[in-house]
Amino acid sequence: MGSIVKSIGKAIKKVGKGIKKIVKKIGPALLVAAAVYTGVALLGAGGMAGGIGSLAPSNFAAGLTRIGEFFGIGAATSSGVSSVTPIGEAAGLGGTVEAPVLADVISDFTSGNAVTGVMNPLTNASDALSGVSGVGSAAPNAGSSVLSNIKDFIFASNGEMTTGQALAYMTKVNMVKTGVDVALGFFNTSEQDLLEQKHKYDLEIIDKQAGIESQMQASAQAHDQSILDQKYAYGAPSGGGSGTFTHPSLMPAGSQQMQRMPSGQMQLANLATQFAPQQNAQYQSIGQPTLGRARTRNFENSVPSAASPRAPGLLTQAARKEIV
Amino acid sequence: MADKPQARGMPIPSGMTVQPEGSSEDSVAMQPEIQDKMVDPTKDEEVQIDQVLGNLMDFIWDDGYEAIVEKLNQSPPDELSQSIGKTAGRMLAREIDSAKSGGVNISQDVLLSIGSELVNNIAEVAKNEGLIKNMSEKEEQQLQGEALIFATEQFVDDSPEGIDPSGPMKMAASALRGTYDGETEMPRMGVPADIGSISLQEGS
Repeated sequence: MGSIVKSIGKAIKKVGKGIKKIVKKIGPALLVAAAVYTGVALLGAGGMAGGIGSLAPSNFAAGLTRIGEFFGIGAATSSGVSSVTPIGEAAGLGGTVEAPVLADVISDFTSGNAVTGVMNPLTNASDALSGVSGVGSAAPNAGSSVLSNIKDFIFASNGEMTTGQALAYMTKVNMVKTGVDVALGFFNTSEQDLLEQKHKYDLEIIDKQAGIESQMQASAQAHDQSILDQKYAYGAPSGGGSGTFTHPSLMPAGSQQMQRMPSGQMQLANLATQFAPQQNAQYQSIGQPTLGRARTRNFENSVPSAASPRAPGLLTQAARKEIV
Repeated sequence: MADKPQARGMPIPSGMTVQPEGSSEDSVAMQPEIQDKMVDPTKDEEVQIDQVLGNLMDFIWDDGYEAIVEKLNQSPPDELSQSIGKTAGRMLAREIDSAKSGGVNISQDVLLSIGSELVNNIAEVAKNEGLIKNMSEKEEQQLQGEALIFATEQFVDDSPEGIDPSGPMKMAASALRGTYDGETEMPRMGVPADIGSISLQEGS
């Protein structure tokens, strides 16, 4: 398989001749960034390349989480901390992968499973634009936070970072968001220093995130405090209107845990559910390219087009008249 | 008898130079092309690009122009990249499917590049219609980059066979390890050359 990012400038000059444009073409760095985004989202989707939602922003975030888990393996083991789920296990491979490089895991992951296409047939190809609904309904399950991942990743890739650095940066931000300790040895000192010097944007994002989290914690604490105040109010204990007072130590374990669970833990529990590994990953393949087809575009396009069905060309019409 | 004021003729409008058709101005590129070191497509892939992209560009700049403008107008201004991308992804999926039904298989290696060109053309339409305005070149790049990701997402959702995941996943791993040569060699906007050679240490 060749590179999935190719320079098609020569071919474009033939096709787009005569169209005067003022919007600069997408730079190669952003082309690579899009390919990398696709790869990370597929990693987050467990390698399922077909089906609706396989490249959804939530899967990109899940892919970043898996990368973060992978980078956590070495440091967690060496420092005696309880180990993070290895990426191979998280990806549904079964078994534990011992500190492999990501590429090897991915290579195993992509070649060691059955290849199964996921079909999603089109029903109507007559109107090339039909079905392009309003943007608001395009990603109903994707929250604004995961959608902002795309903007942040492209922003970083469009700046001074390489795509690899942008990806590492996004992984780091994702780890901050999901509450994972970033000091697991993801970055060595020199790189971290360099990134912090070169990219103030990094710090702004983290500060913003920390601000939001502290606000959420403060509001949660205030909420908890108000409940406790009501519960332990002097002289008149409120038992939810029942008129009886139950000391927290006598409450059933489950209900007590639910009431007292801090908001941060609730967040992590929700995220753990969201990023749960997908089992039974499926693969697919597309057919091999048909080679050797002659270029027909100079006269008329024999290939049926969903975008522009056209009448036969002048040459064909003339030929038909002669024959008749 | 009173003297009538002297009548004055209409002022002669200032002249305007009309460039002859086919003058040298038409062939001047609006901006320098980005020099990249990416792999060139094969001859067969060039034919495929010619067929697919030719149809799509004909559609964008002819029959489909009004429909595209209508779609773009429906989106809020801050979601323009999403609208451009999803429109491009949907169009490309339909065209690839149509070409396949006609016996032409399009190589997956050129899909992303075709998609980027499609996004660029739809962004051009948006600019023509005033939907993109007051944006710096870098902001336009950012918008198109986001749109390309949305286009990829929509393409995979709409494509009957999706895409082979191995290529993008290996590329992601390669980028993360700093071993993707094409990226480190490519010129970046305002990037010092030494930044591109930094590699990440993994797990240690």
